[in-house]
Amino acid sequence: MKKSKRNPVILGLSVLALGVLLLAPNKLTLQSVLPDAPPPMVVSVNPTVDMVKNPKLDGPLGSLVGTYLTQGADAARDLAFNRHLSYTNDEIQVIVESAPGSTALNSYAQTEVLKRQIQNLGGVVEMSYKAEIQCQADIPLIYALTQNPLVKFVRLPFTVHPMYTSEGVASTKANVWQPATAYRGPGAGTNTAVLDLGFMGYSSLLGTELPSSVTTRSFRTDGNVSYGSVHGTACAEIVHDMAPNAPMWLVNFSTELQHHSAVDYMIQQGVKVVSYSLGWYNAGDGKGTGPIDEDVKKFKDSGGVWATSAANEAKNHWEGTFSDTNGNRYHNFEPTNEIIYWYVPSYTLTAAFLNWDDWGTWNASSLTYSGSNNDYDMYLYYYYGGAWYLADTSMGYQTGSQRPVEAIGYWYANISTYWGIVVYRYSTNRNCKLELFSYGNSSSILYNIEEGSLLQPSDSASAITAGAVDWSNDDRPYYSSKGPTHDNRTKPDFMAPTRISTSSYGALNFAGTSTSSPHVAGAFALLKEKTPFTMDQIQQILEARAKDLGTAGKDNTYGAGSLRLIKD
Amino acid sequence: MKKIIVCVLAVFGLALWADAGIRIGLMGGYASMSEYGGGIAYGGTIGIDLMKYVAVEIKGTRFQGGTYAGSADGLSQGVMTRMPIEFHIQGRFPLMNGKLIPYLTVGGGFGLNSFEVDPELVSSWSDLGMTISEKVENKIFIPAIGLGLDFAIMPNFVVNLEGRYLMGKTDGSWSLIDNDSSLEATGTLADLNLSTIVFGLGFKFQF
Repeated sequence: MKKSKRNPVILGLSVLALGVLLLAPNKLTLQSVLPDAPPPMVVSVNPTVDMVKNPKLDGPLGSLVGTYLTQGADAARDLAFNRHLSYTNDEIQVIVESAPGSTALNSYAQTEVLKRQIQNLGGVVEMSYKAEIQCQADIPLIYALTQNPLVKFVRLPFTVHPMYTSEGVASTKANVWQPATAYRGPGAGTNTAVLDLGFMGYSSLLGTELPSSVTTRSFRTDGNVSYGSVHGTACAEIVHDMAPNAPMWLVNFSTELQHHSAVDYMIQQGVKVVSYSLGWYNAGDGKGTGPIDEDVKKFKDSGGVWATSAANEAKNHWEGTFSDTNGNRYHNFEPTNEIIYWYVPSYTLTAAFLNWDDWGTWNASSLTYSGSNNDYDMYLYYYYGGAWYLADTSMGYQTGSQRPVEAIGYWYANISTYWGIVVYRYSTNRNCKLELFSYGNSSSILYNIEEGSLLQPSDSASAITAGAVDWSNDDRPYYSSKGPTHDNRTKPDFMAPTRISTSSYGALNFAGTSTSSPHVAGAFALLKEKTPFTMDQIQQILEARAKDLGTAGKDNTYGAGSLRLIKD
Repeated sequence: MKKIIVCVLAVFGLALWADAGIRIGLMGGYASMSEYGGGIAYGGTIGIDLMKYVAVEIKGTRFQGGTYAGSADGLSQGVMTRMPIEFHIQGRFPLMNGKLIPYLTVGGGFGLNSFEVDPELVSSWSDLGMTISEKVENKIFIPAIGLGLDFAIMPNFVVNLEGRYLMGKTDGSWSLIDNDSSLEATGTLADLNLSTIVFGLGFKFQF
């Protein structure tokens, strides 16, 4: 019955948040400031399919011109927007190739005449080189140019991709290993997969930042391997930088059930190294069990190595034993404070995840815990005008079979303010050890405890867990999660480079422990390719070669140290 | 091993007691290994005539192959060196009053083998923090067969020309040690083909 309660404040804020989302700037805003009517046509035409496939236009321009002629200016703008083409003032940058003349002088003269014609028709000639003219032209002009006998071809400029190699390749000294001839190793690259949520833009990087061919497989319902962001693609770039000969699989998913299938698939495909830059909240007891950790164990048991990011949660983590000093059933984070809070910038999503140490017995065959009979609830508040207001609640039952977790999110913070959590003891037979993660904060959560800030599967004994250090100086960024696990095992295993360059994110623009696991995965793939050592031996070798940081030996902040393929 | 040595000494002792002819010589030539390339061969012999048509001979030869390119399931790039010590029985067929003696020789012996991995390869892996080593086993018995010609240009001086084929396979092993963790990966190499043809020109003093 307690579950049926709903606070009107929650409803109001939800509606407000939805409104903010709907009004957020997007392409509709862009359309609204552009004229609806197409600009005047230079030549009068009857739109036909022939205009899409124009012998004097390349494919992208042909479809853009065809869309303009058949569906109008708005449709053409939409198409240009979706393609991320620069379509400023309805003009687009194109290269006009002038038709060759009978002599060099004629060719020069024709190009000069063509430049004047383009300018006379409203185009802006930016530069020319030999018979090619770079100009800004609107679509009617582009179409007119295709009717001009002096024009041989009109096309978009070639696509240029900056070539990026992760700075981590040199800082880990993988570059010294790469040219080595294999000694008693297989010689061929190690089958390596990047398991992620999506690989946007991967196809345009094939043969440059990625291997010339990769095996892709989506376990998403829509089957879209390019879904979402470039995160997976950037991780794959790093793996390829580290182990250039490794055959690569790009596998994506969106749910834990798809995750299980993806792992089965990778094992079946003979994948031996997985790079995994993801973390799950509330997916296990922090002792290396749970459905995601079980996938990692299964993969390791198949002879593989699973390199996972430690997580970026060091400043978002609090843990402690439930304590109600004043007997009002609310946890006292300190004797006079029952709320823990964090600061969220405006237009940022925020969330909170609570679990406690009452998971029961893990059953690997059914992928379930026996469950908790200690019931805590969690309330989310926001701070406004000098007072805290209830925003949301998570009041799941724990009556013996449910997991000991509560979660609230994701809330859209349309103003910069504090958000806080209150933990309520609904029905318990002991004071459990609570663990809380916040999401979206721009600075530390109050009472922050960095130790133990691992997610799943970075707590897995079967995973190689990678924290982050700056590639240039081995400084640990504030966010890199620390161990130990809840059963007091040392984590992370290694620290690996971050703040590195990829084509997907740009120069020195990919940060977080997401960059660390691909470096570690690549190191394993490279050494497995070059040497006869087993994966377990390679782990020992890398631990012996790592640059020890912090306290001597393997520790819960830096693991064995900063990844080195050759000892400093 | 002891039995073989005792038998050889017994044969030579018997021959000396019987006042048989003895030849002591040196040879130089070329050895070509079927797998490991060829190079200069040199060695020495002691031979004893047991009867008019039969002699025994002990040969010690050393030869080195060329630079072996290495193979995935065999030895790495490097140089093979062999030093077989053989005991032979010769069937000798004197011509021209014993000045020219073609002979057929059959025997075998003990082979000392060594393999040196290419120093550049060793050095490049040392730069990676690892130590490579490879070795080949010594085989007790190497069958050998050959043809030769002794030409006595003076009563006590013989010019000798000989070609022999030494058969045999041996096993080997490799090791890769990580210098930082002291972890070692090892493996065995089976049936390394050591077959060799040796041609030599030499001289012998005959007593």
